[in-house]
Amino acid sequence: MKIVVFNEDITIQQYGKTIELKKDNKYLIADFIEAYTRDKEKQCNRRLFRRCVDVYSQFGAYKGQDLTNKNLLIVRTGGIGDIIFLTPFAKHLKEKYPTANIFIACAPAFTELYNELEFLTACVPMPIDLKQVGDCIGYEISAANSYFISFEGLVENSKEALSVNIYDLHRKQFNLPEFEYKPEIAIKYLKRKHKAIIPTFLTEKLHIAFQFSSSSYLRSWKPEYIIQFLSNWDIKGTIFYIFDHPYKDKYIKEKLSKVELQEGVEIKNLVGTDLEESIVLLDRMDLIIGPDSSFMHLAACLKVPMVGLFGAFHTDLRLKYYQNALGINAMSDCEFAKTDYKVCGEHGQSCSKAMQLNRIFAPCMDLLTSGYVRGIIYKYLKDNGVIDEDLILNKIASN
Amino acid sequence: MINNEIAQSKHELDIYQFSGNLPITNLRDCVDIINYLVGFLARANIITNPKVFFEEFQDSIERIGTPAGKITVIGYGMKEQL
Repeated sequence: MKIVVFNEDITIQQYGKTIELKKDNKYLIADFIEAYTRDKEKQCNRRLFRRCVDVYSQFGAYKGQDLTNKNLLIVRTGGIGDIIFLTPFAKHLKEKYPTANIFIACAPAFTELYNELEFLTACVPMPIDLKQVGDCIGYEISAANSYFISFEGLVENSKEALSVNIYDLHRKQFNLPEFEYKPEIAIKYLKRKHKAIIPTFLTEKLHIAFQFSSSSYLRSWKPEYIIQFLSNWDIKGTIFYIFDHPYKDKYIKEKLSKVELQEGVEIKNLVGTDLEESIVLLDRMDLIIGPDSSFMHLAACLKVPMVGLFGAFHTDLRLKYYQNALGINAMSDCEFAKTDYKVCGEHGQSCSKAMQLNRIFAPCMDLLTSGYVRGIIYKYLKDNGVIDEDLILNKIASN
Repeated sequence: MINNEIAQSKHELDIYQFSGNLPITNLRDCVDIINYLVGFLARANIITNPKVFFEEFQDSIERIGTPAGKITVIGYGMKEQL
């Protein structure tokens, strides 16, 4: 991370949003933004950076110091899940040091999801405008009153990520003792903001949210399996709500057209629904099913039961501290699988084994056959009293 | 590549046209060809149920390279651990 001052106004694109960085203002930028701007500098043959120094040459790195009357800026530019992982620590530190100002800095697309959390002074967009932070607290931040801590590349660059739970990884970096992790999102604020779309669900129905895929093929369940899973689901009164990113709309519509639903089962395709509205809808679900992706962590924030289908990482590494979470793991003998968890922990769009075989989806995920997954979820619903012995909804049977 | 000898011995079937080197780089691209071939084999009563054969064949392609292993199911934060 670098602290920079530009010689002229700069525009950058991040997560589909245009960000304008003003000349003369002091910003904290991620390394990839620096690299991007350096490229731009070469292209236009002008000197865009007036100043560019490592953040830790100007500020102290947070390693568990006393935060009384101090400021802490927690930096992470990853996806929505990556920010959720930070929330228990921000809350814990605010409770421990009530006079501290805790900031989370993340991609601009996600700031509103956390900004209203009462333990945060603010959730600010990356790149951080340091003057904006100063305006929030009424004085300029400096090495004497502020610390930074960054989680960029925490999972990608750590060998421990293959054997240590993600929250424990974060805790080690914060240098904190163990405590109970309770991830949060500003759901009260989102419900107020999107009051008009909060659905009045029929209680006799079983409402299941299904995240069709993760951002990477590597962690996604094969669409053929999803088609089989949905086609063979035979609990009457079930409504599946399919969620995913808008750019996959056409692809998923085509896949869902192949589903031959059983009697009494419905599908509502909500692919492309705005993220904030999706979260408000998720809050009303009876169950959330998905791959190793954001919906598992949103389910934890919303306290909705979840079923996760995992391959490249083990559920112990992600869901271990969640409530009412069912982890289904493909522990394969793939040559890339390591540690006792039999996981490769690979990142990117495709797994090494899939590339070797000229396939798209991770072969290990094939172990999770649709019939097996369906049977496990039926058992889970039965054990929790949602369905009875005959797989008929108790609630429906009584009608 | 279809084996030439088999193709010649089954000359009554018009499958010889498939002999030679086909530029197959990805099995996913071959579904139409296989479908066509299955039609011939069915007409020759070599395959009795083309639909079932084709589905099983497709499934076997999709499963190429599926590693062995085990599946574990773990309940977190539940009253009863599964």
